[in-house]
Formats: sequence, structure tokens, C-alpha cells
Amino acid sequence: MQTYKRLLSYILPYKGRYTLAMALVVLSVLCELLTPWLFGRAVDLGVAGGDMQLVLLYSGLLIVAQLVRSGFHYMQWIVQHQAGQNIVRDIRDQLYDKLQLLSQSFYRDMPTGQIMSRMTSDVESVQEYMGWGLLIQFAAITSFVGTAIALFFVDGPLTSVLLLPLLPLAVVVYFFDKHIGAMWKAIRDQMGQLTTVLQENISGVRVVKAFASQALEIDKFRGRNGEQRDLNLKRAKVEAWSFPAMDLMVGLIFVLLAWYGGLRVMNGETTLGTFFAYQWYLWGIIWPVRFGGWIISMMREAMGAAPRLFELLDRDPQIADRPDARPLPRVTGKIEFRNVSFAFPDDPSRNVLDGFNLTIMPGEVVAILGETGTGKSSIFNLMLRFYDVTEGAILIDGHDLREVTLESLRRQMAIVPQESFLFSATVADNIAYGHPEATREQIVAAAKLAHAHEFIVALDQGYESIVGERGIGLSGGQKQRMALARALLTEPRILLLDEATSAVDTETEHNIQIALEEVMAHRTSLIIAQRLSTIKHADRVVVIEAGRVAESGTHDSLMAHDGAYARLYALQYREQDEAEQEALAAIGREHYDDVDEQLTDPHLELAGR
Amino acid sequence: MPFEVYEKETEVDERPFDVGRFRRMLRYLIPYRRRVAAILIAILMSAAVTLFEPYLLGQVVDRGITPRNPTAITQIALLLLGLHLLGWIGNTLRINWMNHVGQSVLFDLRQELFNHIQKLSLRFYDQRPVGKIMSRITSDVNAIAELVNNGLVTIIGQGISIIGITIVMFWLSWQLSLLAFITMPILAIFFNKVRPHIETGWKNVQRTTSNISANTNESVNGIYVTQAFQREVPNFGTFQRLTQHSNDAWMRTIRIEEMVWPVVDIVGVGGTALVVVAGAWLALQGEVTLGLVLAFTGYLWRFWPPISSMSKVYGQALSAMASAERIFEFLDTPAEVADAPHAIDLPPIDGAVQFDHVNFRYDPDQEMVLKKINLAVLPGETIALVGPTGSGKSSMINLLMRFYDPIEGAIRVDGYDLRDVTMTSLRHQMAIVLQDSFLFSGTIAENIRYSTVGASDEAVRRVAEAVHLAPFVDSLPEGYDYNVGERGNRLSVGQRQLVAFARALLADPRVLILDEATSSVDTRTELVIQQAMERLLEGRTAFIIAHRLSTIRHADRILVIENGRIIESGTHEALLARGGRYLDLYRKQWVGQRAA
Repeated sequence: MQTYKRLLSYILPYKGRYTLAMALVVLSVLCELLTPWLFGRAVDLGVAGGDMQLVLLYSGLLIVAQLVRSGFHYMQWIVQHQAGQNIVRDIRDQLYDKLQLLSQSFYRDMPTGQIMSRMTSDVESVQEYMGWGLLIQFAAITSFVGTAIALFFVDGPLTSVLLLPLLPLAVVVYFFDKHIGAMWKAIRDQMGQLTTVLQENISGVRVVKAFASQALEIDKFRGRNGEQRDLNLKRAKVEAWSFPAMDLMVGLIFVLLAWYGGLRVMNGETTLGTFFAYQWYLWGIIWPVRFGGWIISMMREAMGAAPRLFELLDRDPQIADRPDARPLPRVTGKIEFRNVSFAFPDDPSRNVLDGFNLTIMPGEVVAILGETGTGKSSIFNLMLRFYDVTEGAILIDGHDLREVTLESLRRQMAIVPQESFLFSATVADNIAYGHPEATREQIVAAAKLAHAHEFIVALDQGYESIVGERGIGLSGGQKQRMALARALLTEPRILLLDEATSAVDTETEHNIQIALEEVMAHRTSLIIAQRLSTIKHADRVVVIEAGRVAESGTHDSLMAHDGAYARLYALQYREQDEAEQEALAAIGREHYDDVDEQLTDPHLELAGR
Repeated sequence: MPFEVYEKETEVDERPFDVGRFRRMLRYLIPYRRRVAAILIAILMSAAVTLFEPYLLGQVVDRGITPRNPTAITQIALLLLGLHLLGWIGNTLRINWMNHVGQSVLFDLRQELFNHIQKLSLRFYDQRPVGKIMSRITSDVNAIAELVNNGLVTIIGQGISIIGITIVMFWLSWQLSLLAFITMPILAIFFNKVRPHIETGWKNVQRTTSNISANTNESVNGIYVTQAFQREVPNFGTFQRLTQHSNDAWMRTIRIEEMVWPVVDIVGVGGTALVVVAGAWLALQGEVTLGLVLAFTGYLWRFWPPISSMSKVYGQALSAMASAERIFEFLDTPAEVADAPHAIDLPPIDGAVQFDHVNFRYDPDQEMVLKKINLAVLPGETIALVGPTGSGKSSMINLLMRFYDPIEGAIRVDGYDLRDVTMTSLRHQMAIVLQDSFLFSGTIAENIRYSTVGASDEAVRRVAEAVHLAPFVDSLPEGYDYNVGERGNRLSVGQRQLVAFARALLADPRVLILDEATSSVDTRTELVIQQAMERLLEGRTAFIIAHRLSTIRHADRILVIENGRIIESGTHEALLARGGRYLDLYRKQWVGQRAA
């Protein structure tokens, strides 16, 4: 009932329309009652009385009444559909708005397919009821009650007898209504699962094909598809037992009319015209019952779908502005991690970060190293406040992240995430994603910095080429460079690079690093990288182990310290040194000198910063 | 996501009703033709009520009331009761069976569509957003199911009623019947006029729906970037435009469709009025009895509601036709890469791979991305592909996996042209680790086992150890039963790569393809894998794409690809000694690497 009330509350903004539609329903029901009456008059007074003029008069009125009724009818539906559609649009928009607010932890748990099925088929179920069923329901009740009342005036005793089958009918309706709701709920829930399987299959098509596992996928889908069919059949069974029973009860009304009505006419207690008019009047009772089962079913379907929508709408974003949150003023870029611990909300026992302490000065370039899964990306997620720390605090320029508005915080940062996601839009739009008002010159400048300009202008439509899901395929390296351009364009105070060039070829990576040097000079930058080559411009290297800072310092101090970094360095360069020897042997001194010329004693450079 | 990338609505399509498409829809009933025949009988049973009820009520007058015979009235009433009981049984059977047929057709259609898109080539997927493909399998299929579930019963049931009533009416009085139907041509003209508008209207509604679906899917997948770059507000604007468009498309359609019902009603009442007038006149002349006029008008009264209901179904049918067009478009998309009719199962291979004058491009109006590639790889050889982004490395891999077929030339494995063998037998002997490692929701074990269903736990553990995934898994309380989440989002990117690597190894492929397989893995783990590589690759042919030249130094042969051509080929040492492009790349990288 709570659900139903809440569903109906969506009507409020359109209560004018709904009132109009309902008024039109009443009018058209009245016209509907008028038609058989006119018909009866035509028969009683005209045909039976042998008065052709009356026949003509009533027949003419019959047509007029129908014209009026059809007019009302049409208007009623248009008004109703419009209102229903608006409601559906409102619900969809609200859902979308909510989806954009919900935190990353929500997306960690909720499969995309579930979200999709709610945004599409669940909303459609609600739409059907709100834009259709609700008014039919109202019309049915109006017609039913109106007709019954009218009939009592026409012939009270006859009507009382005729309506007797309504008692058993009520019992059938009660049981039907009781069972159908749960079934619809199960169907809607299962549809979400089916959509999830479908969504994953299509998203993972490359893997499916690569492992020739179509048969497996088909089985998986067939399972869900079959469940959906079976649940629907179960629902259908309930309908199949209820609907005809309802129909039968209505049929009994006709049987009673033939028997009791016939006897009454014969005994002169009522007229022949009344007897015939009843045939038509009774439709006003019959159709509501016939449609009744169907309307209830539709209503229950909507009420099975609605909680799935409300559940999304009622989710509170775990990360939201506090009531007293202030905008973060333009920062210099000092970052402090004070004894930060972090565990994912769905995995609270496993601390990804554990007593993490780190202070980064404004303008510093800090490289973060660590093994796969040690929490490097989590540091960025926490800085962007995609998650809140479980313990401790993160401060930027002395402001606790939780005390400032999300918008002002994120506006001053830009991230190049590990997996570069591009939207279905032009290259230019993608680069300007975080700064939609950027001019073409700014976009091109950012693309040049990220060394993306060359390949972009080589595309058929240059900056206007559509990329993303429906666009041209870009290589991993090209996508990364666009993601980098996107981040640079926002001119962030704090730049976060999470393996930003892992898929870029080394030559380009090298060029990007040179370009970035200037960019990073004015802002605080954090760089996650596996390859030491990527972090050569860092002022400081932080090595993370088991969610803590294991080492921190310049290249030289860390090498001197002979800890994790030194080991890593040795690992990475042992092979390199071998290669160097080989190269030396293979290419001879002459070429090697070329190489040497380009080495501008990086160790000193790093140490000197 | 600017608005412009979404599918546009179409102009009114004036093509005549596509009978072929309609027939094709009906074909889905063929497997259930017995059921459908039984349903027909059930419908006849319920139609009996509609057909005989007015007649019997007329009889109450003629045999009961007029001659004042109460027994006759009771008898007729009992007959009517029997009729309703018959109708009740008929209805129960009908609804049961019809739902069975309807749900089965829905199941079949959905499954057929799903099975078909499994066969379709990557190009199909490259051109369509995930959300749009989904929308056809869910909402378009539903539109057809709706027609089968409700519409068909209405069409058959009401059709039978209409035919029956027409016969009875003609039998009662052919003059009155002709008079009653005189208004029918108006309806025919009207239906013909509105059909294209309604059909196109529904097509546009489906389009806007699928736009919403595409946008939702993309928004969800890109939520991280959206939130990081604070794009919520403009995105919401785009979405609002899409929902508003959907709203408008719906209303445009419904405004026309809703006209059908009132028009049918008006035409029906018009005809009825004519009959009343004429009937009264005939009765006055004594040509017909009063009872006949009443019975006749009674039938006429029952004649129009079925037409009204059918006109409702008409809208539904047109909507289904619009969806059918979209579904059949998918079903009729041929799998560009498919098993040839004569394709044989590839026997166990040694792993010799040959590219023979291969030309390839993705689009006909594009320049060739691979140009006359010639390459012979011996079984067990490790081939590294290097070259700038977009040079054609991934295209070579795509061809080798037979995701695409070459435009010219051939690719052979152990002498078999890839086009002459079945894809399943080919791909079961190959495995690939992709740059973006896609994992399915489920446990780590399930994901590793994806390549080889039924592999033992022992085998799973062995490959996990081989790629150095095991230490991480062992640190988890759930171990191999840890749920990785959708796309593996509960793992780090590097961990995902390791799972994907293990998955590929479990297949024990003869040909292994590593496309930047360890780009996000930490150095130590990568080195562990590197060291294990020799053993992992033993006896397999391997293709490795990597940007970091250090990782491919030990390859048997390194190919430098540029602009779709192999410009250099040889061992690391040979290529360095040659002093060409490889040296150039190496030198640049060296500068980068050493600079740390």
C-alpha cells in the first residue's frame, strides 16, 4: 500500500490533467449510459409504438450521443497518456539524477544490467499502469457503480437479483489479487537478472569469442530466459483460473436476466423495452469486470516494478556533501594523509590502506610505487572522495575532505584513470569533458601536450570523429592520451596519473614526459606507475607495501637506503643492463655514443630537484 | 555525450503494409500449431456464448414472454447457463494454452536473437552501443510477445465472433445486414490512412527507448569519469532531452492511434442507427417480427465491440511490426565471419602460423591497415610485434583469432586456411590475453575456468601459480571463491590481468597471444612472469605485443610493424646490429628507462 501511495504521489504535479481526464471519463460513461437508454426509447416508443418519427429522432440522438462520447473518449485518453508519460519521464529523470549521485561503492555491488532493467522495463511497467491502467481502473469503477445505480432506478427488484453473482465474484477477485502481486514481483526481479546476463555477455563479447564459449553463454542465457518463461507461466496460470471465473460470474447475470427478467416482463412487472435496455446497460457492468482482472494484474505488475525503482531512488549516496560543507577555496596543493585506514564497504575486514601517513607539499611531484593490489589506486579514489576513509583523515591545504563540497574538491583535481573510458562523442567533446566551455584552441593545446594531436588530425574527421562505444576504435595508447588531454584541459591544481601511459608506446611516452614536466611544475602531481621510467620526473618516490608507506625519499636516498626501491630498481635494470651490454656488443661503440648523448645524467637531475 | 550521436527519428514511412514481415512473425507459431489449433477450438467454445446469447434472449421474448410461457423462459435460461459454463471451460483452456504459446514464442524469439548475435562478428559489436543491442532483445521482443500474448487471442477470438455474428445477421435478414455494413468502407479508408503514421510512430518510440538504454549503459559504465570531472549536470541535461524526445515520440504516435477507437465507435453507432430506423420501418410494414429486429440489433451491438478491440490490437500489431523490423534486421545480419559449409574441425595443431600476402582493412573506404603481410612462424616460435600505436599489430591478432577475415590473402595454421576450419576448433587451440582484461561476475575460479569448463581445482591452482596470482588469492579468506564483481571491479586492474592470463593458460593453447598482457602488473610480478615465460611458452607458438622492449628481448623473432607493413624482422641482437627502426625505438626507450 505504501508503494501504491508513493506511486500515486507522482500524479500530484499533474493533478489538473488527471482531474480533467477523470471528468472526461465520467462524462463519457454518462454518454455511454445514454446510448442504451436512447436505444431502448427508440424500441419502446418508436418501433413498438409504431412511430417512425420517434424512431428517427432517437436514432439521430443516438449518433449525436456517440459523437460526443467519442470526443470525450479521445480527449480523455490523450490527457491521460500525456500525464502518464510525464510521470514516467519524471521517474526516469529522477533515477538518472540519483544514479549520477550514487557513490562508487554502489556501483561496486550493483550490476549494470540491474540498473538497465530498472531504467527500461521496470519503468515501462509503471508507465503502462500510470498512463493506461489507472484511468481504465477509474473508468471501470465509475461505469460499474454508475450503471448499478442507474439500474436500481430503472428496475430495483430486477437489478437486485441480477447483481447477486457479484458476491462470488468478489471472492475470486480477492484471491486473484492476493496471489498475482508476488508473482509479478518475482518476474520483475528475474528480468533484472536476465538483463544482467545479457549485459555482461554483450560487454564481454571479445572474451566470449576468443574462448569460443558461445555454447556456454547460450546455456547461461537459456537458463535465465527459461526462468523468465516459467515464472510468467506460473503467473498465467493464476490468471487462467481467475479470469474465466470472473467472466462466468458476469455470464450468470445474463442467465438471471433471461430467467427472472423474462418472467417479470411476462408478468407485466416491467416493460419489454426495459428488458432489452438491460442487455445494453449490463455492458456497463460487464466490461469493468472483464477488464477488472486485467487491470488488477497490470496494477500489481506496476507495484512489483515500483519498489525496484524506489529502492534506487531511496539509496543515499554514501559520499555526499555534509550539511555544513563549505566550498574548498583554490588550493595550493598541499596534501596530508593522517593515519589513514581504508577498507571497501563490502569487504570491511580487509584493510586496503592501514595507518597510511604521507604529506605532499604544494607543487611536488610524487611517484607512488607498489605491487599490484597494494592500494595505490585507492589513494586516488580517496583523494577524489569516491570513498571516505575508514579511519584517519585526508587534508588538502588543511581542509578535511569531508568538510568541503564535492564539487569544489573534484574541480581542482583531474585524474587519468587506469582504464581510459571515452564517451560516445566527438574527440573534441571527450577532451573537453571536464571543461565543456573550452575553446578549440584550448582543446588542441591539451591534445598536443598529451601527444594526441598527431593521431587525432590523422583521423578522417579529425577532432570531430566520433569515438567511444559507437565510434571508431582507438588503440589503448590512443585512448590513454585522450584521457590525459582531458585531464590536462581542466588545469587542475592536483593532477593524478594512474598508470596514465601504460599502453602508450615508449617513444610517445618519453615525449609525453617531457611535455608533462612543464605542466607539473605548477601543480601538485601524484603518479602511480610500475615502470621506473615513467616516474623519472618525480621529486620523491613513495613505495607502498601492505597499505602503508614503506619508504619515501628521492631516488638517491632510496637507493642509498637499499630497501624495497633499490630492490625494484635492481630487478628492473638487471635485464636492462644485460641488454646494454648486448647492445654494446651488437651495435658497436659508434651507435652507443648516440645513445649516450641523449642521457643528460638523470640521476643528478632527480637528486637535484 | 552530446545529443547528436543518438539515433534520429524517421519520417513517416509510406511503404505498404509488409505482409512478408507479418507472415514471418506468424511463423514463430508454427512449432505450436497443434496448440494453436486447440486454442481455436477453445475460442469457438467461448465464442458460442457471444453468438447464441442474443439469439436466446430474443427467444425469451418470442417463445416465453409473448406467448406467456414461463417454462420456456426457464428452459432457455438453463440453456444459457449451460452455454456460459461451456464458455467458462473454453476460456480457462484458452488462457492457459495461449499463455503457454505466447511465453514459448517469447522464449524462442529471445533465444534465437541471443544465439544469433553470439555468431555475429566483432564488427557488429564495434558499431553498436551495448545498450542498443540490449534494447532489441528486451523491449523489442516484448512488443512482439505482447501481440502474441494478448493480440492474437483478440484477433482470433474477436475474428471468430465477427464472422459468426455476420453469418447470423445475414441469416436473420440480409437486407438489414447490408445496411449495417454500408459504413464499413469508411473504416477501411481510415485504417489505410493512419497505418503508416502509427507504424512509423512506434518505430520512433522504440528508437528513443533504445537511445535511453544506450545512454544509461554508457552513463553507468562511465560514472567514474563523470564524477571525477563533475559532469553530472550536463549529462543530466542530455538524458532529459532523451526522455523528453521519447515522451514526444510516444505522444505523437498515441494521438493518432487513439483516434482509431472513437472512429470505429462512431461508424458502428452510425450503422446501428440506420438498422434501427430501417428495422422499425420493416417491422411496421410487418415484413419482420419485432423479435427479429431486437435480435438483429442485439447482434449488431455485439458486432462493434470486437471491431473496437481489434482496432486496439491493430495499434499493438503495428507496434509489433515496427519491433519486428528491428529484430529481423539483427537476425538478417549475416555473421561476416562464419564457419564455411565445408569447414572441418581443426585437428590438434603444432602451431605453425602463416600470413600469406594478407591485405586487410576494417572499412571499404579505408586505406588498408595491413598491406601484403607475409610471415611464416614455426611451431613453438615466440614472435614479438612492436611498432607505434595504430601500426597494425592488433589487426594482425584480430585476423589470427579470426575475429575478422582478410580482404586478400590467407592465414594458415598448420597449413589449414582459417576459413576452412570451424571457429570453435580453431579458438579452442588458441588463447589470448587482451589489454583490457574483461572478467565476468563470479568467483576467481569461475573466471579462470572460463576457457576450460570442467578443469580441476588443481589445474586452476597451477595456472594461478604460474602467473603469480596465487599469493594474492591465498591472502583472501574466500580464496578462489572470492567474487570479483562485475567486470572484475573488486580486483585491481593488475590483478584482473593476472586472472585473464591464468584463464588463457588454463586452455593450454597451442597458440598464445599476449596483447600487453602485463601492462598493469607491478614490476616484480611481471618479472616473475617473465622468468616463468620460457616455461609457459614451451611448446607453444606465441605472439607478444608489448611496448616495453625489455619484455620481448628474448623473443625468437621481433617484427617491427609500421603502417601495416613488416619493416624489420629478426632477433633483438640482429635488429640492433642492423641499426634501423628497432634500434631507433630501442634507443628512445633506453633514454626513457635509463633516465630513471
